[in-house]
Amino acid sequence: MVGRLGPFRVYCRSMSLETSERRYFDWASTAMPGGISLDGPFGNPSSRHREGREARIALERARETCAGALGAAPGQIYFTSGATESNALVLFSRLLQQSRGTILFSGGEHPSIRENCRALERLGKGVGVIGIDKTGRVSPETLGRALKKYPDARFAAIMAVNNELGGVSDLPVLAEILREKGIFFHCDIVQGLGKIPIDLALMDSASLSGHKLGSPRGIGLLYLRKALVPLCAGGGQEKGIRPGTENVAGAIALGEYLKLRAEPNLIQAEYTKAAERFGLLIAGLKRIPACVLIPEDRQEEDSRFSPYILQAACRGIPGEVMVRALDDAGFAISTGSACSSGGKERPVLQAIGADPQTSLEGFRISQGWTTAKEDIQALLGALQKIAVQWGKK
Amino acid sequence: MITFLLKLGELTLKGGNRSVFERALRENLRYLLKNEASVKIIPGRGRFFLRCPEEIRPRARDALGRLFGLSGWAETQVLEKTEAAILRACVQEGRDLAARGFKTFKVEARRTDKGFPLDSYSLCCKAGAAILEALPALKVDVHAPEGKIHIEIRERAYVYRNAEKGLGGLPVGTAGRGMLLLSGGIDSPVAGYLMAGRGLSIDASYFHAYPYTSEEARQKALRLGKILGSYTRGGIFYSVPYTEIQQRIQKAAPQPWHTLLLRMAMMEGAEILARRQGAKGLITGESLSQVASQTPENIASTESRVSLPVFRPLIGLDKEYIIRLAEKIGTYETSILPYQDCCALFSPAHPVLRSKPAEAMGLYEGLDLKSSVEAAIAAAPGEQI
Repeated sequence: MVGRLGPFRVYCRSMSLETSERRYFDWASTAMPGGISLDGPFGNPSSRHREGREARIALERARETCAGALGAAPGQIYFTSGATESNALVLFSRLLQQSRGTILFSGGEHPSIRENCRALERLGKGVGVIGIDKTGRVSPETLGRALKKYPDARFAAIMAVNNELGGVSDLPVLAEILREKGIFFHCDIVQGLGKIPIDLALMDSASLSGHKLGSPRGIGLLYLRKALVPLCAGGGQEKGIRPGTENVAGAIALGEYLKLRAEPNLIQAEYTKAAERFGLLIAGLKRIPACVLIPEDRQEEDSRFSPYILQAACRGIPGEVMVRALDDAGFAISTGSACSSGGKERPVLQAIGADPQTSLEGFRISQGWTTAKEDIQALLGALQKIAVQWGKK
Repeated sequence: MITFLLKLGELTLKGGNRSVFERALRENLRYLLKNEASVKIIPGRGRFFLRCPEEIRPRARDALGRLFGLSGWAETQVLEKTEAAILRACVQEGRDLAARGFKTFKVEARRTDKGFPLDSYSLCCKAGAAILEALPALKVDVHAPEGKIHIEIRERAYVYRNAEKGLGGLPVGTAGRGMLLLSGGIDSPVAGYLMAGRGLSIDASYFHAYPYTSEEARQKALRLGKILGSYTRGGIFYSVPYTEIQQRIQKAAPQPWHTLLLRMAMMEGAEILARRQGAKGLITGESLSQVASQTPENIASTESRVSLPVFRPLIGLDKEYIIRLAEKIGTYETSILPYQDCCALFSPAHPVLRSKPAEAMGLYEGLDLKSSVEAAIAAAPGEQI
């Protein structure tokens, strides 16, 4: 039997795993599209002619929309290609700082913070890690320990919601500690935006990406309470902070999504529904003998966590294998950050002290606004089946 | 039209059945040139000739570089057998060498036509003199010349420079078919290549354990198969689903034996497939003592289920040497891509090192895998490589 295509599909079908219906549980890596199309005046906002002026007006209107939705001033909003760029922008501006103080970042940060801090270290900057507890959060205790170890700290990057575990750091408390010490507080709010209330007044800078809200990829923003001097120069756009011809259509879309999603009442309403769904999920996972939650003591109702992200493991099944098995069954999940999926390491799980076995087996389920209870039930059913079929006997 | 002179290798040692080998060589070359109509392959004693339009040159060069059975080859000038023509041709080759920055040269001549007035030695001297006169910047070095100019006097006269080294070996297919146990690693493709060089045409079997192993890993193995296929007149790549077998071994057998028992099952499966395809032997990339499953005792256990001969061309080779071969044949870069073809879950922490075949056999038979193996082989789709 010589076939040209898909011997794997043939195999999967024979194992009754394949289905054409898809249920998406990887919102933490990207949201399902929200349906607002990317459109706007084509002109270059820096041009003097009418087309340019129209684009400029649209861009500034989008900026106002974003600022209004976030509770900031338009002059504090800078459009970028996404949070990765925003994070890098803030971090590398530290190279131009005269201060020799240590740059701190939490052990649970996204690679765009963690790896850039490592790069700064190689460039001669002092760098230190703020410990996280087993929920992935920075606590006043772990922050205190870091500040004691690095008394000269001048900068701290602490994410609002951990993207692998879902842990929500208590930002008001942490912000207060940092403000007292005069430490610049950068907050990656990517996983918190539109899902939990975020108060930009607590932070000196913040980064977000539009595609976590459902906008097309390639647009995000950087919030800066005060302007900084960036490392990279160019045509002077965005007050020189983020040079490059502006993505007007992207900015307009981002504004629309922020207006929609960052509305406090909506956040609260969606939070309640999401918490209910994940409550069902957690209860269901606890009933599957081979499954464990990470951390194990996560409750059905647990204010330490965002109800949109959950990490679990099924004993005897490596996380990657679970991803494949669920994929064949019609479910999209992931192991860790999509950005680190290429590698086998799970630095965040290691940072919370998970043993190698758990790190290998960990997988992430993340939901969004269109996730239904029925999807959760179906996922639990598939997990049960896979645990029996592939798991440790 | 251009002409390539092909030097036949080991097949010239064959006796009465030499024509079988020569025919295979011709057919293999035609296959490598994708049955290009404008190409003519002219057999001769000890030398074959390939004539093709000039625009086919790159394809011809590629094909000749993948053809087992040649000891060497070169693009050659074809001339009338006169001294003047030969010397002119030699000077032209010398000019070409000089243009490419060669500083020293040597002329080598051989003649099968003993009726030709000049003997080999005289030919060399005259040609050398002519080249030196035309190109005074060049120097003769008979010990370690940078460039070599060859003259061959046969039914025509041939002049060429810097013959390419051929792959050697015997034409693919002259020894029958072999079934290669192909993994995504560095070793097994090299093993397949070496056995193809001894005349085996190659089919490959890849044992996967989806979803424990990924589709990317299978694609990687398939890519390796295709690279190998470019030397071996293609073949069929079988993806054999061994997930259930892996799981049964994991469930029922002691952990230190898992890898070994799996390898026994793979050999059994490969043999069933080999017999179905008419293959005469199995081929593996085993190299003695390289990993735990490749101690002498474990190799004996691994093959205890099969009766076809198992060819292990790498058994006595160092890893470094194998890597160099892999680089040469073009599989190394693909082999080192990070897609595992074995899940960490199934790799025992303390594998058995010195198994006794009788014990291995006993454990294996206790698992009663035969019908699962047969089912997996029957379900294995094949793809052309």
